[in-house]
Amino acid sequence: MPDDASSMQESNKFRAILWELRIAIALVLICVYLSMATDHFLTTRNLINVLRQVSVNGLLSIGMTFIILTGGIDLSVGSMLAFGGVVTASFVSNAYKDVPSINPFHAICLGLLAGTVLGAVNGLVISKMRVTPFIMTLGMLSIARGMTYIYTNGMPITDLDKTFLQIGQGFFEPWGVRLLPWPVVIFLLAFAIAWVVLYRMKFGRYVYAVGGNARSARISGINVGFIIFMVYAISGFLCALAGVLLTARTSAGLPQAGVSYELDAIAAVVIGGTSMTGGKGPLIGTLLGVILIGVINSGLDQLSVSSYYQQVCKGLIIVGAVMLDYFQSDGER
Amino acid sequence: MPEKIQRRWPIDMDSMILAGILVAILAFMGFALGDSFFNIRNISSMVSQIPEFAFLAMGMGVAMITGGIDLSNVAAMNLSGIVLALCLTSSRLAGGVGIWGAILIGAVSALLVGVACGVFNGLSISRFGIPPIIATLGSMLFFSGLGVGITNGEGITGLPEQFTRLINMTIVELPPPFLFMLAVFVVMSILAPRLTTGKTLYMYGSSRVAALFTGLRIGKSLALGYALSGLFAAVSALILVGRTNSIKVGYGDTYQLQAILVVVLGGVNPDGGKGKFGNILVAVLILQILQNAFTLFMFTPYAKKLIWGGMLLAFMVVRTLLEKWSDRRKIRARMAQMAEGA
Repeated sequence: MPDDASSMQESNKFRAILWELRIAIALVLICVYLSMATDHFLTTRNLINVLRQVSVNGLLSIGMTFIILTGGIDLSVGSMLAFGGVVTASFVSNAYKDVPSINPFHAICLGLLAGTVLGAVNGLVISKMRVTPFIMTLGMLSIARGMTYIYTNGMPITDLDKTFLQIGQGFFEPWGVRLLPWPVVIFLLAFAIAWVVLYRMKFGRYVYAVGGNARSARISGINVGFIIFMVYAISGFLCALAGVLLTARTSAGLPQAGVSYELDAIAAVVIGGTSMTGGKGPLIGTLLGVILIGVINSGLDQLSVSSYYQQVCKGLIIVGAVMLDYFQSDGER
Repeated sequence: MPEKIQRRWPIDMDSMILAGILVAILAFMGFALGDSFFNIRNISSMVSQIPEFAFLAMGMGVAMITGGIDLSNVAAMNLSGIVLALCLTSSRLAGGVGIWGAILIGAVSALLVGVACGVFNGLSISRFGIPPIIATLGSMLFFSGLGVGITNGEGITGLPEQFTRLINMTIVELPPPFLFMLAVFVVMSILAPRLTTGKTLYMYGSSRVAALFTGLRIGKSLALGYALSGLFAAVSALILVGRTNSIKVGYGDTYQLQAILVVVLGGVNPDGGKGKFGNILVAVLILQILQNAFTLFMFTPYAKKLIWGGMLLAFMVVRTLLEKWSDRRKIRARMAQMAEGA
């Protein structure tokens, strides 16, 4: 009976679309619930605040997506963020006497360079020395954090340049219209560039190929070591950028900034549907995952749930997302 | 046979390097610090600090031999320590079964909690195919969240002194936890490569696919392996609670990185399949002596972090280079043979 078959096909198609949209649906449901449960959720001010908060995790998650796509992992994002942040802060601070204060733009470039170098070291050791990514980045987590503390002597760097703070606290105002906070604009810009790199350039295809099957990628002439080196360097750069934004937003270079941020970044990527074994996953999913986690965090804050339970909640979400992925791929088999 | 698998990495190379490092460090300490290091008080304080960490490292070793990792074992240690402390401080329990009964019940339930944590990890890894790093990262949050839920994040103190005295007494100048730790290390290094479960885990670590096709009971073995890791975490909780006379979520957080460092230092391959418990013990001793030296030299805690991370990486890099070098030597020997044959 052709009618039945086509309706079967229809319903399968419907289920597939539903599966593809699962994060978006979850996001909408949570937003609807929060706007009914709390008074302040559905206000422009709060929504912009949520966006501003997620932009830091968003930048980390973009880098993490690249890395997880190659089948690796980066546990050192929080520490690299802190290092990039304090290096920039030290150059724009009037109180920090050990280094001269310079033009904020140059200071930001130095901070970004510091983060990129750390990420590049990750990439170099992983691709050349064949050290397991999680061991290497676990070591870097500790090293970069130690460097941050030694650099700052464990004290926050305050009294930052006023124009520098604009990048974290100011608004993007084209033609006098107050549009979006700068961190959000920078995050969206970075996301757009990452999308182009991943889906409209050779490099992106190679990233997917390396994660899908490193050996066949090598045989088809891809320089696997270089791709792996690059994704870690990119992650380092984005971490430092996030560190700069966070420093400007909080008006201080905090050596303890970004502790356990790697959890949020991994969670966003995994929720977004990127496979932990690499080679599979949409970048747009990461964007939704980042927003989902941001909304949940802000919602739990507004429902005044203690921060420990927020951690538990995040842990369950990560494990749940991976399990869902498992059941789905099981169904495909 | 796992014996054969291990032999690919020259058996005594790791042990010899480690023993060499240990002797060199001891000699350096004797030279640089002399009596301020080699005195009874310093050594006995080190001996009392080693066991709780050694058990965590052993659990981590089991997980890493399977090619996995257990990021949740410090959280599991805290959770079982909390259960123990609750049993010990409950006046109703002590009134019902006496203080020794309460200690027994507390210890048993702490061990059960540890095993349950481990089984939870093992099942989520083997049944649901969650990568170990994600599964244990999630369960770490989960366990410490449970701990906070039970205690509200506050510490539990005021344990009965019978318990602390039991943990801190000495037999011939050595505390019982230390002797127990030595015994467990001996048992583990003898049994792990010989029991079926141990062999299965070594094989699973060295090649997942091959192990699947040989029809080994991987799910069961993995659950047992992680349960063992949880059990060790609980033992370490007993020692920690006895030694510090209190427990709180967040105790021993720094052990997590150090446990991984020690296991890697002890020659366990993070990709799985290789590793000996005797070497882990030597690595634990090395780390403890260095820790002690940093304190005596009065390093800042910030520098410590840097040094641990640097050591972890340096050791991994040296190992890889050595492995590459020995591979190259093998190939060269083979080529020489072939040339002779021709």
